[in-house]
Amino acid sequence: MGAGKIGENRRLGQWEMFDVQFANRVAAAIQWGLRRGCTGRGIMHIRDGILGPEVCLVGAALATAAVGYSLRRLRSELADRAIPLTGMLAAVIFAGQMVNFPLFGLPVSGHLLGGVLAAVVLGPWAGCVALALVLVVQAILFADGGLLSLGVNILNMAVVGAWGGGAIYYSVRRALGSGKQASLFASIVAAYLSVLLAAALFCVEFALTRTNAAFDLRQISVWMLLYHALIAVGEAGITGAVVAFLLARRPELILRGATAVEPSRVRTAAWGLGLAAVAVALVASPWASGFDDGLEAVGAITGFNSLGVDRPLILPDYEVPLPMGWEALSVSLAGLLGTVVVLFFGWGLSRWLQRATP
Amino acid sequence: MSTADSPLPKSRPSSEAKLGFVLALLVTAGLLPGEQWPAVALLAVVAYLAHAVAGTASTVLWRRGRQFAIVAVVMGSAGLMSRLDADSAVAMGALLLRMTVAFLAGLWLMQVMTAAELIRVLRRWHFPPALIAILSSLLRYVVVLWEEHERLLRAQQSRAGGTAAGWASWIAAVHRLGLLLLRGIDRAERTHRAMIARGWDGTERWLS
Repeated sequence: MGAGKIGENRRLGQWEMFDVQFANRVAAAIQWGLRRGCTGRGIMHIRDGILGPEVCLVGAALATAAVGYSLRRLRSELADRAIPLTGMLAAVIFAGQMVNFPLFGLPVSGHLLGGVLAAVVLGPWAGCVALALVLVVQAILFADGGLLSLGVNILNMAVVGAWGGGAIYYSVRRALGSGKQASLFASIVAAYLSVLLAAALFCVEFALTRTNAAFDLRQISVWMLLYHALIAVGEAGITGAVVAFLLARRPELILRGATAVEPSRVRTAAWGLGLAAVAVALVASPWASGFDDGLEAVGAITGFNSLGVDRPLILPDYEVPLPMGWEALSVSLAGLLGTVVVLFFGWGLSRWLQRATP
Repeated sequence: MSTADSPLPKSRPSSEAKLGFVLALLVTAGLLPGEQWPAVALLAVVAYLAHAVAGTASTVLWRRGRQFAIVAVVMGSAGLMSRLDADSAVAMGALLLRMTVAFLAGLWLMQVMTAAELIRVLRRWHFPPALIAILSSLLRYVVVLWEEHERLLRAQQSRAGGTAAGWASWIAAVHRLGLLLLRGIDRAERTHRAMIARGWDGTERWLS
């Protein structure tokens, strides 16, 4: 599509102008991204070849249903504002993912994923549609993430990010109230958990892929969750910082739709969330930590485990030392402590961000 | 919205052919069992030849190849560390070959498919008009917002007397992102009002 076409075709409509002007500008943006190496660093994007075609097909069907439902809800809620607002939100997320956040001491940088931020600003339906379209453009025009696994990527990042993250955000805010501090805390916890949920879903998809049966799926799951736990800290930090910025500048954007919750319902919701956290910690952690991690496995094979010197650890082998040797209970207690630490981390970060944001 | 009303020329079959070619490569590579890795390697050669025909710059292949190599090494090492035996090594080799085919095919599509072609294809495939309109809006404004971001960056640098480092650069990035979001939402409201002034009633139509 060259600029010379303008002179050759005098019946230019809006879309023809789009072809001539904006396709070139988008192409320029792609080239810009290539020059700076901003594209192709989508570490959360699943690439083609990792998951089997059958899993990708099921993922695409589920993603289509979820995006279709989101689009329907979006149009009923935002009416004629749906297209400009969602399109702009998608553009903001796309551009926002190119903003580099330095990782101190490391030669790489991180960037926002945006699912929870989109859900917090415009709601889960707009967030899901916006993020899905960002993923479509990234896969086809930027070669970020696979084409065949596009549906799975939409499911893991857009649906889990916006729907799952949004559900956590609104649940926590409903439990704790509609103030600034509660909204900030809810966004941090939602951003953290949404990344872990997406990683857990990927593990399920990887396990369902027939050709991946040769791998030790439990070990790979542990690696995936550990690796994404670090990414989740970054996502929680960036999302929390941006939400704190918005709360300081335009609080009505975040607090819109928040209503005061009656004390009894607050207590009920808080108890429910607390019990859910305890249940997850008690039930899931023994399964998750009942085997060696990958490094230990390699160490056992190669023998370098014997070279290590025992150091005093707070919770060695993720177990709380109990006198009667109740292993499952001690691991569960360690999981519960971990959950509490995450909640304190979120609460502390939200308090600090609120004070630090001018 | 009817396709017949569109001022655009009909989608050239080559757009669908490009997508079809890439999908055929990906599905074939995905369905081949690990033991038939030579066939997958052959598909990688086909994808590489497609790059040669498309005239992909070697610098693009090199730059993106480096990024792909990092992911491949992480995947390979994670697999081998999870189970260190011959079966796992063969499976990991097959997985990396499939990923190579996918990487080359995706990069080729990026080289030959334009944004306008993508929209045309989606319209031909009867995607929901609202979704296509939102996608068009995304492609229209991402460049505008990125230019906005560049202006914000220059303003920050001129105020700070240079590029921020360490913690200050993190704070500066948060401020740019927050401002980008606020300005994007404000722009969306203005765009919406302008659309209403032109008769927008929430129904997607292609103007001629």
